[in-house]
Amino acid sequence: MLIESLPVPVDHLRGNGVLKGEELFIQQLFNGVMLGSTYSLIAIAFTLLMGILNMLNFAIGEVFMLGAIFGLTFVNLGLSIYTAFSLAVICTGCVCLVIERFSFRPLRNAPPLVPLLSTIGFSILFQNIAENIWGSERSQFPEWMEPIDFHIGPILISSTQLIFLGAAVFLMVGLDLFIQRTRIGRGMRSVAENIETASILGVDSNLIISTTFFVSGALAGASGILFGLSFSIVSPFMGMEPGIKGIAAMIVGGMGNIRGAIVGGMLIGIIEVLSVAYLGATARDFAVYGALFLVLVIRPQGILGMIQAERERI
Amino acid sequence: MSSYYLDVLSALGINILLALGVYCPMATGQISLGNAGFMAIGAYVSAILTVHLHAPLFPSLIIGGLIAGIFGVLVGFPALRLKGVFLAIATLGFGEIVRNFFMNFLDTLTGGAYGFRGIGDTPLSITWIWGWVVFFLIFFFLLSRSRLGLAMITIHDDDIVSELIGINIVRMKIGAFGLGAFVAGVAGGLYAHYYLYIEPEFFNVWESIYMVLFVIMGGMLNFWGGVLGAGIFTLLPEFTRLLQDWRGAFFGVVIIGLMIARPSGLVTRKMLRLDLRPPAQKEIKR
Amino acid sequence: MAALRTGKRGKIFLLETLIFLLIFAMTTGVALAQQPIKIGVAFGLTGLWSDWCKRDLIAVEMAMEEINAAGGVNGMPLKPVIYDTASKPSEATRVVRKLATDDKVLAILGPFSSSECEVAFPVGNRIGIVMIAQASSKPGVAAANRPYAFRNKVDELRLAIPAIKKWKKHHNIKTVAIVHDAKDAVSRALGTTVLPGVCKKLGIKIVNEGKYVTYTTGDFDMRPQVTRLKGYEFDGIVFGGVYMDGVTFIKEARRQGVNQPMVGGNPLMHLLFLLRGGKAAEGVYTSSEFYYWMPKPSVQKFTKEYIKRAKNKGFDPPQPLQFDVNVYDSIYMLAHVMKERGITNKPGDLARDRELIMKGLTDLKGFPGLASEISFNKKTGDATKIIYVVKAQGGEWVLVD
Repeated sequence: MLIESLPVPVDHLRGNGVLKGEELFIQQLFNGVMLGSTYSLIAIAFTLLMGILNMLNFAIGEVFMLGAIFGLTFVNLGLSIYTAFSLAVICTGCVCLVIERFSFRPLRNAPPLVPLLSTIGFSILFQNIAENIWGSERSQFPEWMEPIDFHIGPILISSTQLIFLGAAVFLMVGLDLFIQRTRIGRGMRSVAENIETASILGVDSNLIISTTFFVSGALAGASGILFGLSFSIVSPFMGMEPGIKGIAAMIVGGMGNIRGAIVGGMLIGIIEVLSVAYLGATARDFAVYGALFLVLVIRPQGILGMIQAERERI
Repeated sequence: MSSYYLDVLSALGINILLALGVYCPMATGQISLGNAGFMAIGAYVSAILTVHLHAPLFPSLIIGGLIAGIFGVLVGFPALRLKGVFLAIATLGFGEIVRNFFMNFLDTLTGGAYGFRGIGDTPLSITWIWGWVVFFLIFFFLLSRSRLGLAMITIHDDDIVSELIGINIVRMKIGAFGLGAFVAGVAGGLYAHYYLYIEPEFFNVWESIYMVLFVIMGGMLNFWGGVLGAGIFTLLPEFTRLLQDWRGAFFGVVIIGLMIARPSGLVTRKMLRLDLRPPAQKEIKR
Repeated sequence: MAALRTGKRGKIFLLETLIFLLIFAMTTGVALAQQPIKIGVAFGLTGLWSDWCKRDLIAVEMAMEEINAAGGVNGMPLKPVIYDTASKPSEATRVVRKLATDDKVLAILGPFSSSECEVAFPVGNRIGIVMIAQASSKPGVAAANRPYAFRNKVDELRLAIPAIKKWKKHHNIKTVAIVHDAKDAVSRALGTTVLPGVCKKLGIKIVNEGKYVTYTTGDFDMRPQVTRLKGYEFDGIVFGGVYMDGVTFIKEARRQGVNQPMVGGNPLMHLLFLLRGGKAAEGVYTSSEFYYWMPKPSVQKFTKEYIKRAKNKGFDPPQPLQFDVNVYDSIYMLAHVMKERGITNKPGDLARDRELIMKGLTDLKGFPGLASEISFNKKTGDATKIIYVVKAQGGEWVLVD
């Protein structure tokens, strides 16, 4: 069903619609949701590893970046966007398997900060590689589809935004179903509860662990490509901020909790956009990190998080 | 000695202090990924004092350190409730808030995003920097031998036992944060008066991360580890100029490898014969 | 040649030729055996600015090769000593020290970014060695480090005035809204001081005074900012920021129906602004110190050679930018000054040579650079050149007269 373009009231000789107060607010709110869905996807990638394996993979931000870079490379090699997307996502999944091999498996019994630091090492490594092979300046995806803009009431939406939102929702729902309905998914949940019990019950924990890493990497990569398409940027440094915001979203929403990651992501996105819109770019980081700090101090489990014993981990 | 080598040694001195600043909370089992924030506070406060109030250097450095230390104590309180990864992220957030603060506020005093230029006419001599380094190394050496130092080790290894022994964990942990922040603040002041120019971007997340890496790589179980780590990190880039573009990748690989090979870092307590537990207990622990 | 006789005349001729060849060989031999003049290069070959600095290296190669082919400076060839600053200020100071005290270069090119310059210039100034930066345009950086710090770059205020003037005239602008980067020092200066100052002087009213729309360098999402703009009425947009953020902004603006004409500061001037901005970039005004299609034969020759080398190295787009030309001109200026002041390049004369270079550059007036004549402002150390106003048209930058 096509949404027809409604004429926007023209208030000015220059043909530019001037928005009124509430209209502005609704548009900004929507902008926040759009941005938030980016953070939600990355937050889920973080939270999967956190919830099931109790590991914070600092390199997810760089995996996100690699997704966009691989995607762009494949598109430039002539592949269609769908093939490029699928291929890139598989590649980032594999990249995460490499991380598993070096940052998780040999460090199972080390204090939790050690794997974290190892993934910081991967972060530095990936950024340097990307910088050297693809250059430090930004690139962007070719204009493969001219975005058509729709108006729903006073809100302006572009087709790329809709696709992004749709893809994000699809991925989130898909993941949720995967975890709830499939055997591997159930395996993941049981490993999250207790890894020893899970093995006793016959769950192949190694397979589960590898799957978790792969899915986490694939998700991060997918998010990266969607992000690169939606915001028109691909650069070796593009993963740094979204990575940290993804961690913030995960914490705010509740660690180890997929729905929490979604809520946290949306919230961070909205906070960011509203603070920029009404207070200026300077206030943005204050608002986001301030929120993070507050949550950690007042309610470390996050909004949807609960004390582990009380509730299902994922 | 050539001006170039002096520069490397000066940077090394500052990095050693930064490592010590991170080592403090770590010694009590707390991680801080926000020490660049304390460094920034020390840098800006001392610079404001010397430039705008024409205060002499020594007291300015101390005051910069003290104010950083106060913030360290303030952060130490909520830090008590957080563990591991949570604490890491919280301190990271703190560091970013400080950086943002200096970018947007106190413009007239510090130049904000334009940066703070002209912090003195001549850079600090290397004797100043290393004077502080020697002072703190002696201080930490004495600390490690004292009852306080032993208490810190105990807290690091086992919270419950230390409480039984009667160590006031709360006071020690907060104190550790405060002390670490003080050292970082002094380091910041030295940094500002050596490079003669600072801007908020100098105190970003990655600086905090590198400081932690100094300690992790060198060995987190005693303060010499941080010194060694700082040494490696400062001097290695000079030796790896040959690697050119791939220096970053090399570092990444070294970190990954080190975590697998020797997660407790290069300098272990056993090496320095400071491990006080009887052999039998060690078996059980790891 | 007429018949060579092996008679007496022939023998004399042969002898003459032999002597001539001997002298020729000796003198060229001597020129080659003379110590090369070392010029330090402190560029960020890795990190944030690597793409730009690697291109600038092409200009370094070209300038030095040309000068050496023409006999060098008083017979001595130029030689670059290149170190990577990793785009980091603390590294930049180290590199400057290394170049000055270990490699004993006579002058230094770079650093690239203003942050690096802020920290490295005081070092060079104290040691007493000329440093010429090609890209830093943050106000006052060289001025704080005279007499040895120079920037072959016009400062932002001077660059903005002609652009806004012409833009105002052509579009009959009476009111503007200002958008600027809150983090990058140059853009912030542009947005909060320079551009508003120019607007006020030209009698343009700023509708969002005190409430400028801001973003942070590298922001990928400018939806909130553009949406905020839609709450105002204005004739034109004044933009203080670098080209890639300019792309992000203008594309989002046009998408949301904010179609007013835009003018931006010099950091907007880049070929990629056109390529990435596409249709949205049409009509944007800015200023430039150089544009590669200038019909001057020297510019065309330079551009052709540069493009050839850039393509070889895989740079895309391969055309030269103003920073490349600034580096090229800087080397030619150094060569000129060294010749003029009689640099000996003897180890014992190091300090004297360096001082002579500094004095030479300070007094330089109307040096024929590629794009225009160059002089250095004694007080600020920044360059004075012709400023060109360009606008985006049909996917190209077009000169506005």
